[in-house]
Amino acid sequence: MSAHDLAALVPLVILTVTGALCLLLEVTGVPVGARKLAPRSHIVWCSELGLAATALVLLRLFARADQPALAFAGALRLDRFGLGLGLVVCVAAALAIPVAVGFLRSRDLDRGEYYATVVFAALGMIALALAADLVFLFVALETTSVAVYILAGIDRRSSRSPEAALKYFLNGAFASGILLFGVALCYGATRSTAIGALGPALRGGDGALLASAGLLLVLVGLGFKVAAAPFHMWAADAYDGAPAPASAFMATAVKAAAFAALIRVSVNAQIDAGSGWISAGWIIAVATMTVGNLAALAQRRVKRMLAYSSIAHAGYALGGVVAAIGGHTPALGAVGFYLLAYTLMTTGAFGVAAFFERADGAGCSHDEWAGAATRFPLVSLAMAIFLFSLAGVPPTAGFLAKLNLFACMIDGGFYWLAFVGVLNSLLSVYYYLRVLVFMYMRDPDPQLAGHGGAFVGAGLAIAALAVLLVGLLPGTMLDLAAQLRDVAPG
Amino acid sequence: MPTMRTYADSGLYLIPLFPLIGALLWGLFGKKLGRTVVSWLAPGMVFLAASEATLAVLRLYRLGLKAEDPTFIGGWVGARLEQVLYTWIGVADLNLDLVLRVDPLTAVMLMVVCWVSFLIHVYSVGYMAHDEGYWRYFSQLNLFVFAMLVLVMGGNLPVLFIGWEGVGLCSYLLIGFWYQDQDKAQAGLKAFVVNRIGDLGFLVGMFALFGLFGTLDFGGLESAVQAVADVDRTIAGGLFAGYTVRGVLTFACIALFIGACGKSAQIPLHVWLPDAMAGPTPVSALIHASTMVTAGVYLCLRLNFLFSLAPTAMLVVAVVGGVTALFAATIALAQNDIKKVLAYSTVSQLGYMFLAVGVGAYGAAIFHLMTHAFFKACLFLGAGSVIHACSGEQDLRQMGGLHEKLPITFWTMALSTLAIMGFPLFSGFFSKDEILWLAFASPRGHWLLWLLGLLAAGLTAFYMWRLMLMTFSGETRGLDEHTRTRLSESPLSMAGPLLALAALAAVGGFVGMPAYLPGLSEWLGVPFVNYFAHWLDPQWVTAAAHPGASDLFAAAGGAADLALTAHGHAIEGGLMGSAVAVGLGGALLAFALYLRQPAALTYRVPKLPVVGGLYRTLLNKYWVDEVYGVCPVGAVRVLARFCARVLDDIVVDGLVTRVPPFMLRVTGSAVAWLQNGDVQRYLSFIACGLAILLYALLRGGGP
Amino acid sequence: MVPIGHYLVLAGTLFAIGAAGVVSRRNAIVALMSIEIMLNAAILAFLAFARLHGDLRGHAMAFFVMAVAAAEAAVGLAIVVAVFRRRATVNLDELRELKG
Repeated sequence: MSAHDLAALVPLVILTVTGALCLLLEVTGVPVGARKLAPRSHIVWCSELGLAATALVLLRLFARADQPALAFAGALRLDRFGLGLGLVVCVAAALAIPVAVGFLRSRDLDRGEYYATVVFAALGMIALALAADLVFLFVALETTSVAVYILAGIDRRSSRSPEAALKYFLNGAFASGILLFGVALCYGATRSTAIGALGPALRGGDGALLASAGLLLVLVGLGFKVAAAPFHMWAADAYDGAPAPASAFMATAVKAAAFAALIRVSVNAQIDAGSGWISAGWIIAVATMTVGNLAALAQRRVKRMLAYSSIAHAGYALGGVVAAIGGHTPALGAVGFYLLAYTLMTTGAFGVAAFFERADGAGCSHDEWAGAATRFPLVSLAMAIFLFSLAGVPPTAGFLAKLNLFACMIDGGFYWLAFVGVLNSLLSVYYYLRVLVFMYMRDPDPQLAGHGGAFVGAGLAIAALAVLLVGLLPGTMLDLAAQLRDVAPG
Repeated sequence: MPTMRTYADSGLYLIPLFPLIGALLWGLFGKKLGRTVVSWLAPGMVFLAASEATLAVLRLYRLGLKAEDPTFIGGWVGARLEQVLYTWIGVADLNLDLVLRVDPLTAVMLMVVCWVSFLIHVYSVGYMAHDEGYWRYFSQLNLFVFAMLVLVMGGNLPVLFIGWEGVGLCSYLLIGFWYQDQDKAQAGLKAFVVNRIGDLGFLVGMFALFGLFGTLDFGGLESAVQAVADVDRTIAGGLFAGYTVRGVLTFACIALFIGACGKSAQIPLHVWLPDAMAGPTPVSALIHASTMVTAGVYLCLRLNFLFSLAPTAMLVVAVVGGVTALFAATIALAQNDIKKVLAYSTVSQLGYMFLAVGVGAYGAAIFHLMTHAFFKACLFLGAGSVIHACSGEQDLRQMGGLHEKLPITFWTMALSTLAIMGFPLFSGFFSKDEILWLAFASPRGHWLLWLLGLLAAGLTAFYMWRLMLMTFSGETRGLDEHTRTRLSESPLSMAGPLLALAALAAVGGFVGMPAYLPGLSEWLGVPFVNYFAHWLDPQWVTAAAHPGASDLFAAAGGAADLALTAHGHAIEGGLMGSAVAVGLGGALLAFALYLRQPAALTYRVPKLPVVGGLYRTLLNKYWVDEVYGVCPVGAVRVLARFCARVLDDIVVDGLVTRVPPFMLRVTGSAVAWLQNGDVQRYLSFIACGLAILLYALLRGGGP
Repeated sequence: MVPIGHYLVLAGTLFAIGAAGVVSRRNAIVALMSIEIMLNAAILAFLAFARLHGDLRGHAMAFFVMAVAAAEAAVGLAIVVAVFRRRATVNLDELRELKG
């Protein structure tokens, strides 16, 4: 076992232990020192500490990863790209846990299982972001998926949550099947399962067609996870039906990790700029952002609107991926930065939805949020920040991330992609600000209630401040993002 | 003389940090902390900032001396302290730092802003003691100091602009501090709107400079200017192809000057400042007299190396400044609201500063900025003390006879009035005299500009003594019985700052004594040194050394002295004498007319035939507000109505209200059809998508 | 020896049958079983290629997939049970509360 193997193992072991501890603490009951805390606060703290420790280790590895290294015989690749997106996953999980607490308590779901599942899912996602081998990628993806299916269906007494979980599961398992078959074809074509082996195989030789078919199936499987059109349709139902805090996590962390894998596979395939792959890629990107935005326009439920909005954002990010595949390396950093901004604002927005959500998905429609600003001024302010950021209004993180991403598309020569992206994000302003019109300019609905608490407040406040801070002082983050440029084989 | 060296300094951030902390604390927890804590700590935060600033200036002083001759007279070459707090954007062609910088010019501004702010904070503790919004007030006042410090310390135009907008915001908030009063809220809005017009100029100028030089950093601009040997060269390519560098600079400088006009209330954007008196009086003293309104002057001085190369722009500045000085002084003659008189006086004095900038007398401009901050802050605080004593009465015709009841207020205001009228050896004398002399003698000056200033000086003396006499002499006229019996001097927290500012107004001018003072230097037998000008000399080196500005500066030796060789000391002495005479004449006229029956004139004059019409014109401020009400505002209103009818009804209502429902219906039904809830439909879409992609792949025959 | 092409055709057919099953069968349990068929098709392809390459990794992969498929099936069945408890049906056509 080399030093790199150990280094790669540390974050994964920390998360495994953390998840196990969360389960254990549920069974053992409250330790003496934590008697005075609210019930199960110690489990929240345990998971948060585990995630923080993981993030620190990832940061340390990030700092030392100027020379990327392979670990475990090529199963993982410790490079800044994977570690950076692993950090985004940590951020998503660390924010999604506190914003969930209020809702979970109100539905009596506040159990160790929930937190453990989030932590295990994060484990799978970090592995997915680092995976350099298709077998490892598949296992990591399944670890992630199985955990996330559970989260979607965690509210068993609701009628919506299990339905969402079943739909998500059927679609997800179907896509996994496609991906696995693709892996088999790749293996057949290259006699290897290393992602790095794909590129040479595609260049020619007997296995070229087999390899490209395999690559296509793998990309479709991953495209499903990032909710790219036409593989996106599950996302609306899953994010809308799942409890909002679970949606907050699913819509962000899963996407970050799946984008990492998608980019790693597609960039390593070394596709010729100008080939049909690129055209297919940007058609899918345009379709994804447009379909997401148009569908979001028609929504009357905030939560479902956010679900479609997450599809639209996946479309923008896919545009960046296309630019990266086309050979424009800075697009990798732009996508990474975009995913960070997207994670902050979407976790926050779904977190606010979790604040208001009641049994069976009630409390999540525009009408129910009418006048929320008068009754919950701080939460409404946070929501305003998230929505402005989602709409891409300066000085928020969302604005800079979009600017950076579109600039990369233009630099990469994808003018039309950038143009459609800008049009789409203009369109999106309408439905984001519509929510604010309801919250700030309607008479209050006396029915509206929220489940606050220190964790929820802290989670929302941190997300909102981070959105503003990244928007106002983006230099550090942009510098870090600029280092996410190396996913090449080796 | 080389340009100043730059030294890294890690302590500069502390200067704006303290007021920022204060603003946040009082804004968030003011009520919990209580009045006592806020009363001590709000001025305390500014005191800490002022102390840090003073230490920074001392560091600057030490670093700015030559190693071989560490004396101020011989070895002062100036220096810059710099702290980069954050790199916003650091890509190749655009480098934007959040950077603070202190150089001799900033040092003067720092001292003025910090210490005057501190005194006015102390004063406010007494003045606002019974106000409901005590915490809000100090939060906003601290925030103002923060923004003003960012403005003066910003090392590039964007940072300066952040401060610029920040002070504008605080000004807006504080003018409308008593926002329940519709008129006062309206005044805040007016200030905001007029300043937006100016800001447009600022932004245009900023973009023009960026287009020309590719940088907005002051140091970067300076080196860029130095690199342009021939300013009349035609630019070959890029945004400004076909224009000369001087032409673009003239354009940029005039655009920036429009921004400065907005902030510093120069014609034609002066209309907001008198209305801004709706705010609490200490706010008027701090923001609308001594600090924020001078930001426009500071901007021009900061970019002096650009203005020096654009004589046309400087002519515009000088003419606007000179005309404003006279124009506003005439309006001040007829105002009856004590604060309105002082407001127009401020506009007029700011006109002097721009006059100085326009003739290249940069040192004189900032010198007058400083002395004006002292005496005008003192006058405003004195007026506040009077208003405080008179239970909110601001009409001069109702006052009178207050000198016995308010002795401290009277004597401090009297000293400041002597200063503003330019009474010999008071601070205003030195600064105003320097401006008038250079307006006449500078290579870019003109005797007409001097005449504008001279007339304004006479009027200044007249309206200030009119104000003083109507307030303090004779019998008390209007106040009700209750107020009369309770008339008394303000508490110590208010009197203290008054005394300090009056002392500064009286003797503060000695730091900038002119090298030539008729008789005095011969009599004393020592040559005078203008310490103030000497301190600032390194600031003008870039401009002075540039061949494009050789007409303005004496190129010999590269010293930053204006080319004054054409005029002798005799003329300087003569001009000084005439200025003093005019000032005294104005004062004597005021005494003659107002000493006996201070208010009688204001009732009698309007009935006189010709003078009455003139008086009404002045009283109504030349009907500028009315003209604006018809022309720009009315036109905008018509345009707005047009927009409401045409754009709103047809375009917005048509496209946004009517088409979206249509569009929403279409997308809604499309989505409802696609996403009908059937999971197997979703699965078939995946399968179909996959099939199409596979087909495309096989059709294409592989990768 | 059976040529590799035959194995691949079999695997592809199995995969298509599974996919068709998931898309068309209304019973959630049957859909679940169809997914298992898809995974098995992939396993078959792995084994065929392993044999072709004379490489053991394909065999190892088969075990990985079986383990993963078991976990997936467990969670899937649990979800179906949860749906059945609340809605008293496992017919996919009737699960249409989430739509639009």
